[in-house]
Amino acid sequence: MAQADVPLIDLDYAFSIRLATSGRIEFEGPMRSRVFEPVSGGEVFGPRLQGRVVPQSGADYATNNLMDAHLMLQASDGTWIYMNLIGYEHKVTADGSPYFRVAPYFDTPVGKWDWLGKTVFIGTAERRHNPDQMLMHIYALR
Amino acid sequence: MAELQIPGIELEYAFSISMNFAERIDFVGPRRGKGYVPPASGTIYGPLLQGRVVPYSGADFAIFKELSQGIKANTHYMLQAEDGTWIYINNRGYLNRSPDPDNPGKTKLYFRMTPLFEAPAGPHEWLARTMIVGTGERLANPDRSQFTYYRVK
Repeated sequence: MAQADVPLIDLDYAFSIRLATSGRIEFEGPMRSRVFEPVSGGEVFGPRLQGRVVPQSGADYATNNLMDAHLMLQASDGTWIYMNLIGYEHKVTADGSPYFRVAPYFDTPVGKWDWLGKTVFIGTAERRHNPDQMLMHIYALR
Repeated sequence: MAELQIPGIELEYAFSISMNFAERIDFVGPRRGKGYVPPASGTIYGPLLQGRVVPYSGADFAIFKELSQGIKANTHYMLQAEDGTWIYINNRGYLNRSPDPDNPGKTKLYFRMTPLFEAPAGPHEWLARTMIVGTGERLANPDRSQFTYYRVK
C-alpha cells in the first residue's frame, strides 16, 4: 500500500514529571519477575500541567520489564489526579544506562483537568541516581 | 529547571489495520456503561507487519459513562502474521468525537491508542518490546474502522 494512506500524527510536548523513588524490591517468580518501587515524591512541570507527585501514593509494579506504575498527582490548584503509567525499558544506550518509552493514563474529576482522561500520551523517560528518580517528558497526541 | 532540555520524540509508520465490525453491543449497568464489539475480519498491511485479524478472536470490551461523552477502549484480539505467527494485541485508548469537516454540524468518531502486544520469540517479538501509538477513524461505505500504528523510536 502507498505511503499516501498514512495520516500525519502530531505530538505536543505537554509536561514533565520527576518521579522520586526509594526502596526498590524485585524478585523472580515462577511465572514472571516482579518489581515494587515505591514513589517517594516529585514534581510535575511544563506548559500544560504543574503540580506535585504525592509522596508515598503508589509505586511501579513492573512485571517482566514492563513498567506498570500506579500513583497520585496533585495539580497546583489542588485537584487530585490518578496516573497509571506503562512503559518499556530499553537497555541499549551509548553509556549503558537504560531509557524508557512510556504511556501514561489519567483519571481526574470532571472539570478543568478532565482532558487528561480523554487524551492519549506517550513519553520518554530516563533513570537518574543520587537521589533515585525517573525523569519523564510527556507528549500529547493531537 | 530552566536549563532542562526537553528531548524530541520521533514516530515511524509501522503498519495499518483495516477492521470490519458486524455487531456493536452496549449497555449501561449500575456502575458504568459497557461495550462489546468483536472483529468480524481485518487486514494488516504496511512496512513492519502484514497479516490478518483473527475473526471473533476477542472484542473491544470498552467502558463509558455516556456514549456521547467518549469511550475508553480495551480490546483483546489475536492477530496472525503472514508467516503464521500468532500475536496477541491489547489495544488501550480513547474514542472521542470531533467536528466532521465533511458534514457541518455533525461530529465523527476518532481513536487514539497505545496497544500492548505479546508475540513469540522470533521476527515479531519486537512488538512485545516496543511502545506503539495508533490513530483511527470510523469510515462508511463499507462500514469499517481504519487504524494506523506508529513505532515510538
